[in-house]
Amino acid sequence: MLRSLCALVKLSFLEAVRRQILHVMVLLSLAVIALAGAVSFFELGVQVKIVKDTGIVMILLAGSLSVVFLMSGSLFHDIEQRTLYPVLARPIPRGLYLLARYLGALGAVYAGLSLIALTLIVLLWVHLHYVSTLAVIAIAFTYLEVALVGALALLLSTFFTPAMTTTITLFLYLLGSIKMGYLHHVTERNEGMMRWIITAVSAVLPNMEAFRFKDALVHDLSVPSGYMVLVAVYGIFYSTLCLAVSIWNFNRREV
Amino acid sequence: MRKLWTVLALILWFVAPTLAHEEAENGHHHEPHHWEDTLVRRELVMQMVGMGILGGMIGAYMASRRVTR
Repeated sequence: MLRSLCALVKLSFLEAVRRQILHVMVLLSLAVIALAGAVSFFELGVQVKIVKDTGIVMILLAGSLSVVFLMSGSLFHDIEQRTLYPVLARPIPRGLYLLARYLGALGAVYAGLSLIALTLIVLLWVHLHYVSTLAVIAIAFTYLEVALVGALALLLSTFFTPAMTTTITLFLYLLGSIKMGYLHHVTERNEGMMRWIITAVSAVLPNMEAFRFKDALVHDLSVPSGYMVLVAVYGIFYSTLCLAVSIWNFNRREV
Repeated sequence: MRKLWTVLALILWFVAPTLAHEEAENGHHHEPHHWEDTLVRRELVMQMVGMGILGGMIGAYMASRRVTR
């Protein structure tokens, strides 16, 4: 079983690594971070803040967009191009196939993101001659957020076409990003049925903002370790749940 | 082309409130960061517990259906 998983993950990784969207996103992010690090209009303190801010935003943007585009089409194309059937003809559970698809694509995105993260760390080292633990933590939580977005995209891809999956995932991603600030205010200002609907939507939506420690990194603030553990558990829990539901749906689907 | 317009319209629709919120945050009123807010912790825990219970119930129902079939 483990050998099959490793072989499928490798195949999925190699396929995802060849996709142009990943190359474009990584190169674009590298260019933006390099530009933020090279242009010296500001004092050193301000420049470092800009590098940190731009770096984390670009890791998040490149990771989220790449993972959404990679995950949303992978299953659909496998079914359309009939590459899925020889795999499923073997004694490989469908769940294992889906898990391998997820891990392979996520591995490819992480490989790209690692290049961006490495550039950011080198730039911080050049400017400050040290790299704070918070920089590594902020990057790690951005990786976790990307994993969650990927799991969400995979879940939706078992229900919808690639275009629909991409649209709905980005839509939910944006809603999850404004959950704490915007949706909570909207809930407070509404009454009756509308309030119940917004509360119900809020209860299911993933809290994307909880993974973002950019402000702490930029302004050198401390974050309680208990909170970080909670957010890590939350990210792993939500991603696992999305994977479980997608496996359940893929198992009952006619292919 | 129609799909592209739909996606763009949806993104714009959701970017507008985000920007409005960002602008409101830039004012003098300071909101606590999410790691300082106890409400956020409580919400994360509640969401995990709620989904765990719901998932357990659905899982138990599915398992019971499989057994009776």
